[in-house]
Amino acid sequence: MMNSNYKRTLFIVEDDAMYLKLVEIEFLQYPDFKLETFATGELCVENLSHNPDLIILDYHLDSVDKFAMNGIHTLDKIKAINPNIPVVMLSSQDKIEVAINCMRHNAYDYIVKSETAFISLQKVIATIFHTQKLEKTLEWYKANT
Amino acid sequence: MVSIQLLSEDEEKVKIQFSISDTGIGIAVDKIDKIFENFQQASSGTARLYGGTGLGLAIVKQLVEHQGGSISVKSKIGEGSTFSFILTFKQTKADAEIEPEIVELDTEITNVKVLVAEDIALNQLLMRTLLDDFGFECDIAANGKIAIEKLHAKSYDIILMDLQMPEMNGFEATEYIRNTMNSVIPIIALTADVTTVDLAKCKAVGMNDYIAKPIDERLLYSKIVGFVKKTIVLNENTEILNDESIKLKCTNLDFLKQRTKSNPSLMMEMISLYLEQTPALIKIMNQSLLSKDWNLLYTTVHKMIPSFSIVGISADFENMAKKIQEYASTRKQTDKIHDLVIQIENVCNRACDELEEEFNLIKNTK
Repeated sequence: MMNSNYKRTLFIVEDDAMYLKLVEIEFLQYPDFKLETFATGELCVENLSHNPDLIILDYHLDSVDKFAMNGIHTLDKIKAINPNIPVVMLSSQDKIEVAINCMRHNAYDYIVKSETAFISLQKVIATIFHTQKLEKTLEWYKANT
Repeated sequence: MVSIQLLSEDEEKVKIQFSISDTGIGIAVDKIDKIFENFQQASSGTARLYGGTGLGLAIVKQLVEHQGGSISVKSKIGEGSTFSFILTFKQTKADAEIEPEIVELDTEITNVKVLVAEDIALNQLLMRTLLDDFGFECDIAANGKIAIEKLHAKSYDIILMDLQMPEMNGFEATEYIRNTMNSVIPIIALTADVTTVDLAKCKAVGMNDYIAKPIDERLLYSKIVGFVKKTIVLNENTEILNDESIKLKCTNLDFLKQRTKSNPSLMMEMISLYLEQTPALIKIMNQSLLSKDWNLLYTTVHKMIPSFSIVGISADFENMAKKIQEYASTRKQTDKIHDLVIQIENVCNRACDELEEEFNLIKNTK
């Protein structure tokens, strides 16, 4: 995806060990990404200082630990600290209300964990970085003309 | 008020009168002859008061007369008008095709397995939400090809088929289902474009019906129930054939192979994660059932669900697990949970055995 030496940092926040591993495996084919994985929303928020370029966030983070922060709560915290980090929600919930709710809380996109989830994820990531590149180019022209 | 009356009948023909009455302003006797003329209304003030171009009745008159019928009107000022037309039809011996009535939501009808072939994510969500509300089970396929794969792997009661999809569209998929798979499963087309061309094509490839988008959920429900009731009778005779599959494996590593590109170490990592977490989850599931801790049961089952599809356990078990969640969260029908838990436990235990074998197999050939 990228040709420079700059590695993009990607946070994956997922409490399901098997699914987390699957996502990790998926990103093995993109050596330009530096992955950081977290099993809870709390850990993700604590490490925001690592400046991730993108966060993939599970909707149900409180299924293992009832007292853990859920996905929406985590999303709000991330957005409060840095509204510019794009957050893509991953969820086993394929209900419209859940999707709408995520979008209202400023998620970049909402992906259902289905057999096409990884294809959707690829597309979204490509779009995000394409948009960021365009924005940067625009900024450059604004500053230099 | 609309009414239909049989006027006369012989061996070849029937004469039927169709009437519609209103309780409107009525039409004066001297205006009655004029109202069927082009651009005429009962009075020049009518358009200002009630709108309209004055073409409607003229068109109706022509339509009726072209079919050899006649149209008439009776009216009384202040009370209303009755318009009626008489048409002659040929006699037929064919059975009347009964339009599906709008059926009210019936919670007794469950266990309906619906396969939805639809490529647009938002429509997928919409269909899933609607079918969930009906209490039906539903699987989504993003194109015709995936739909056919799913159809091979699992039995469904009905297919809702979008027409325009990438890879394999709805027409091609239906053709394949009818001609290559020789399946008579009911297929309802979902289409945004209800032109006669499309509908004729739907029929030609063997679809049973269609529903126009945006979807009227009551119509959708009625149509599904109508078809499913019909086929239940058919299926009772064929069920004996399916018993052979019981001895087959309950897991399938195709998905993992595809995701890991058959990388043995990654496969082993995934399998060992499953083997690590599953026995513990089964234990908690059983304990929470014993202690009637419905919240814990809900979250434990929730944790198990994603692993089913990863190791290729049939979606039937995933649906069972979702049923457990439903009963656990609503605290209704908790007596039914016990059987479901046993079935989930059995399949997970079998999966563990199978996967342990697979694990050793990969390890030894590595």
